[in-house]
Amino acid sequence: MNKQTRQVRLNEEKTALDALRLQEVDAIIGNNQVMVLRQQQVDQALRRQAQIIQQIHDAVIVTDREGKITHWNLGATRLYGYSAVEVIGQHLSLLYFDEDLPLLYDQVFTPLQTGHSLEIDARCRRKTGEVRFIHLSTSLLRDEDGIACGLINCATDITERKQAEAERERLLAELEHERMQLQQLNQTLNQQVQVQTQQVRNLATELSLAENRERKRISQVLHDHVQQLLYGLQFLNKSLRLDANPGQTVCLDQVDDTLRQAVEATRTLSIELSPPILETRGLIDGLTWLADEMQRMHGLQVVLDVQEDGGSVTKHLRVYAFQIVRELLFNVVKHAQIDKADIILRQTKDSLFITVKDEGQGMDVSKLAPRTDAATGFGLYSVRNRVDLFGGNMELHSAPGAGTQVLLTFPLLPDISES
Amino acid sequence: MTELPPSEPTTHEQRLVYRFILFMAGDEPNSIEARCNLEAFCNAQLADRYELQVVNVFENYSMALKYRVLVTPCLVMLEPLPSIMLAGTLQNNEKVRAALRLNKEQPW
Repeated sequence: MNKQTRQVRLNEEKTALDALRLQEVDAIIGNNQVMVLRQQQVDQALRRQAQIIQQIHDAVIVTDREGKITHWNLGATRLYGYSAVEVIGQHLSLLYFDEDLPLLYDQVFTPLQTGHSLEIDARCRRKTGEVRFIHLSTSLLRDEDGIACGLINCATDITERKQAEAERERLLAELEHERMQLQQLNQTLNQQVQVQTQQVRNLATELSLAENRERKRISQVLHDHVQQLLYGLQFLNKSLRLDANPGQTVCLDQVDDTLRQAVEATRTLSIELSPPILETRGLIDGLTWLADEMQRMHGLQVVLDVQEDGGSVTKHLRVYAFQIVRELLFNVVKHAQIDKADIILRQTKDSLFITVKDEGQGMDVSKLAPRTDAATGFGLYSVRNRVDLFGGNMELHSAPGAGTQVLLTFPLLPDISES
Repeated sequence: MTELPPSEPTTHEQRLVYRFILFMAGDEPNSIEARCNLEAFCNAQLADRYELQVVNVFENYSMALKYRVLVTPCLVMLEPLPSIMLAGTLQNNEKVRAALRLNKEQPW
């Protein structure tokens, strides 16, 4: 190699060395191969990864084994308000409220020592002292040999979500509270309605009892007093006839006839008001008597179909049911234009069922107007009312030309108002 | 052929054509940087008075040996003679100009 060549070669080597020193070299050309200098590649890869972590939206905080902060990304600055410079070297507990630390140690930092990673929702503290809620994901940082050398904390700000949840809870609680209040109010009102309904029932019972007492009284007066007076007059009349002349006899005959009518009227009235058989024998016997009376007085054939299976009918229900059936039979006589009717009675432990039906001309049910029948003081409307007050039910089935059926149902309750 | 006496630098320079080979190690960062810097330099300083050949030493190892390239990236100027070699990213403009003998004080 001559001097010039050597000089050139030296220059070439010098430029290579300069470039190496400046770290501007990628690879060295060896005799057999290209030797790539990897360090720069690694550096660049590291740089890239650091950039990525830096720019993750969530807070990424790395600590050493003691909990001192070693890495702090932009997300952490955004969440907590500290810059990296302010926190690196500080302990992680800086980011939490003192009262929350025991919980965190329990649920996060201690379990981590056993090698698990954990996720919890936690409360943390910004630089300003403001409260934030975070979803915290924590795992161990291991070195190349797999030995734990720190913690990686990844935190997402969930404060807004928590607030929304809290608000929702509050609204639900309010709603529940109001619902309960309404429920209570409803209960109170229901109770009041029940009390009042019972009061009305009691009054109705009182009324019907009073009514029946009065009827009985009137009936008794008629029987004990008025009738006796009339019998007395009849007797006197008989005596007078013994000594009467033919002209007087005619007159006395008329007197006798009138007296008989009066006796009959008082007797009928008396019985109508308070059929004695009801007092002494019971509803079925009362209805049997009623059937006979209807035949006798009005030419109405009444067929009785009775089945008794326990239960007992209180005295004033007995009287009332009797009066209702009698009223219904009067309706048959007055309106049905037929001479036969059926009474069906079924009695169980809990209920009394009575059906009065005929195959007469029926009526248009829709045209029924509420009326009271002056003669007996009832009328269908009044019947239905009083059935309701006994806690019973009345069903009316009828159509023109198709007959009429009235179905009565009464609950049999223990008699507490017998007096 | 007699050598022409040195004329006005601009005219003289205008007549010169540069031939380069740039040796790169594939996509390695410094090699890429060298190529970018070189192209920028040539476009700015040499206009269209240059020719550039790019060699990937991973693919064309023998050419690297032939030109006695020691490291990559490495620029070899074949013309004008004498040829020179400049290693590195070529980011220093002045160094490049000096190596290519573009400075006026450079003795011919």
